[in-house]
Amino acid sequence: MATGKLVMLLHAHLPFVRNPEHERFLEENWFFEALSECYIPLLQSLYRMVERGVKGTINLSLSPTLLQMLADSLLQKRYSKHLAELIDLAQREQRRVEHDSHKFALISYYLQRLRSTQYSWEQRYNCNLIPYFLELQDLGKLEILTCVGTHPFLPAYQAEPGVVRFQLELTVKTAQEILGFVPKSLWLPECGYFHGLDSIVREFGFENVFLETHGILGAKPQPPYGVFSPIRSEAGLQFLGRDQNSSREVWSRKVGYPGHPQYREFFRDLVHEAPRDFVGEYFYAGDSPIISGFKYYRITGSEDKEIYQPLQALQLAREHARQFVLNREAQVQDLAPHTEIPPVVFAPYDAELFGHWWFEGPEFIEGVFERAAWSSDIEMVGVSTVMDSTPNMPEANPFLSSWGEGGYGAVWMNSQVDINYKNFYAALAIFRMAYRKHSTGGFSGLVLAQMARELALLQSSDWAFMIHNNSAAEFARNRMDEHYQNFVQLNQLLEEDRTQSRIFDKISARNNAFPYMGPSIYRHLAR
Amino acid sequence: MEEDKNIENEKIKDESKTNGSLSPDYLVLMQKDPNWMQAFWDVNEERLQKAQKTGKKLVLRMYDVSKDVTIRSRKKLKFYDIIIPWDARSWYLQNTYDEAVAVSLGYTEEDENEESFQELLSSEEVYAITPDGQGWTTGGDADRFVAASLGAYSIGGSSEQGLSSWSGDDIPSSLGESSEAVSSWAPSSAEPYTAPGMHWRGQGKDFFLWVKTRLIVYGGTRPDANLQVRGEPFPLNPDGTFSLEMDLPDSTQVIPVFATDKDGDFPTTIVPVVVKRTE
Repeated sequence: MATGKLVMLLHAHLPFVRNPEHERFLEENWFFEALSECYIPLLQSLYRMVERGVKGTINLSLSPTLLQMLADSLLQKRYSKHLAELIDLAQREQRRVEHDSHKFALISYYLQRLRSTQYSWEQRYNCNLIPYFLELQDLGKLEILTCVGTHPFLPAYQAEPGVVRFQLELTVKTAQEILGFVPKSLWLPECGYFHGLDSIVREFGFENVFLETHGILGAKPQPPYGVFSPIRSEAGLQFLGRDQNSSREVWSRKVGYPGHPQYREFFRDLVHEAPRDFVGEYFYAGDSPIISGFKYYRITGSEDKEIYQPLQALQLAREHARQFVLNREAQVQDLAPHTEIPPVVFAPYDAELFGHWWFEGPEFIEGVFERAAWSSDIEMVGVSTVMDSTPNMPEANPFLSSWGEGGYGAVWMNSQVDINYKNFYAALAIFRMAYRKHSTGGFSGLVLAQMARELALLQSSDWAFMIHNNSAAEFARNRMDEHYQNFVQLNQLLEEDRTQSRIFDKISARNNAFPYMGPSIYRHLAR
Repeated sequence: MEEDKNIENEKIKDESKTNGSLSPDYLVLMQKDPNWMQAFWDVNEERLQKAQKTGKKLVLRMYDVSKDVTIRSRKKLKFYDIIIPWDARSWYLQNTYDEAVAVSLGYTEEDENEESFQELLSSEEVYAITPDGQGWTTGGDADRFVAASLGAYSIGGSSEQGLSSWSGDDIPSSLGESSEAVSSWAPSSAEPYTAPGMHWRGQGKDFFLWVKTRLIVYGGTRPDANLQVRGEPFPLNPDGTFSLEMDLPDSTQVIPVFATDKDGDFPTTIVPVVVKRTE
């Protein structure tokens, strides 16, 4: 038995973005980029490890909004078209740079990758990745978790437990409908936790959640092993806390692996360098170029960027993976003599870091698996394995915390988004009145369900994060406003006792997430 | 296109009700961090004006409901009052209790008077935990695990190549300071966070202390006024309130707040000067 355990967790989440009214919609590209760069490479990598008999398990949290998009036939078709457009652009680019041997080699490399992606997507995965994530779970390579509803920052709703229950009911229903089972482990959006959340989460059958470091360190009574052992709260919910060393090695801009000069530069894309008439209108939204993913340069360490060399970079990712596992071995060797429980290192990351922000990230993950597979000190395991093998875990009640800047709610609850919460709570009060007054059947039932959908989508923590980071901030503000205005219009339809409405048809066709939204879910909003 | 036209033609009967906003009564208490809470509310304007005509004071009454959260009347509970302006729609509250708290909005002849208090709205309870409630055991293995959890051990690697190598300076110094802004599709700010205004003093391996300060500037004016804070335009909430929260390092902070009415008339400046010193 290994000295300690490594619980590596990837949290895969995107906000719900789907716009059937436009043939090409800028923000849908986020989903397409994540498919090409993160989710499909992860699947390919995990299958390779199955074929090669590499042991170990990684944990993957699939958020309900991402599951909705993965299962959406319109987005599936659009991604197929997107791949064809990318391949066409790469072929044209090959001709454009045929006299530049470095760029020609690189674009040929991207073209080859894209053809492999296209084959996997269309021929192997039949345009739907979900069954293959499930198969990898059956094969022991993945443990699938889920996340809360539309990814709300739960401490903002501490005063209204019904809102938290509404989101958790939505979580359970989505898992049942799309995954076919409800995972035991739940990723709390932004690791947001407040006192009392444990008992609400337990009501819905979840057993395990995850916290930022100080959520565990500040628990009462003080856990004896810090974040290196799971803890159990009075309500029976089990927690793992983030290890800061393994986090920094990957996340840190200053000293983290992804900042190495050999790795690919994220911010220089072909669409920023080639003329618009060459790139084509598919890669433009208005005057804004849409990222192609074809990037020629490496980070270099200066503004004078040097050409990217993928083979060297991929080898470096393997070396960093080796270093990462060595560091985990050192941690557990150091701690093991002082604990009665084998030390657990919990290393959670955004799944989209690997492949999107850090192009070589999937190679790193594969390298971690391979290096850990023959380690006698550390083994990569699923969350359930750790929880099931720690019968006498310390009992403690965690502390208010999040993994955002400052450690609490500053990123998601601040003056920039105050209006969002005022709108939400005003709409909630209106919804309660509407729920009491109108039938949950017939047309009014459909309208109530759409109102609940709009409320849920309004709650996504992504909007506040984008505004805080000033990245796609205008889109985020527009989305919050759109969901609130949709809610106001839908409420007005109820007030006027409508039996049909084109406004309803348009809103419900666009924001069609969670088709099973109904009284069993939104009753929680009515307390 | 034809469908869009039809949608545009669909009229809602009472257009006065579809002005893009809703105004039901509510009062919400939100915990921002272990020290601060924010209450915000909306109350029927007619009720509020009627209350104001009584000549009494508008107060936020913060209750300690930790003893019995099932007591709905909130009588005989420990509380304190904060007198607020009649046009306020949100307020920051310092968290001084270490358990469940709730807040009521109401009016009274004098603050802290239980009998004359007339409640307009009340919030649900929130479990608030102050840092004062913490009590770490230190020494021996407890120190080891706390330090290790915060990433204190120097382990392997070469910092030149971006590999892991941590010195004591890299150690997150306190709870709540080890987090990173990581999330979402927006560019990840995967960088260790060190709060300005935070002071760290260690005395060997068995003891440490950290203290930090934050500053909240808030106020209100007419909703259509023009506001500048430190010379920069600053957005107002729809009710005319505004708030700004920032770290407060050792320094003298001069924060000019300048406003005019919507036509640029009635220029008014208020300049809070905040001196922060650490000894």
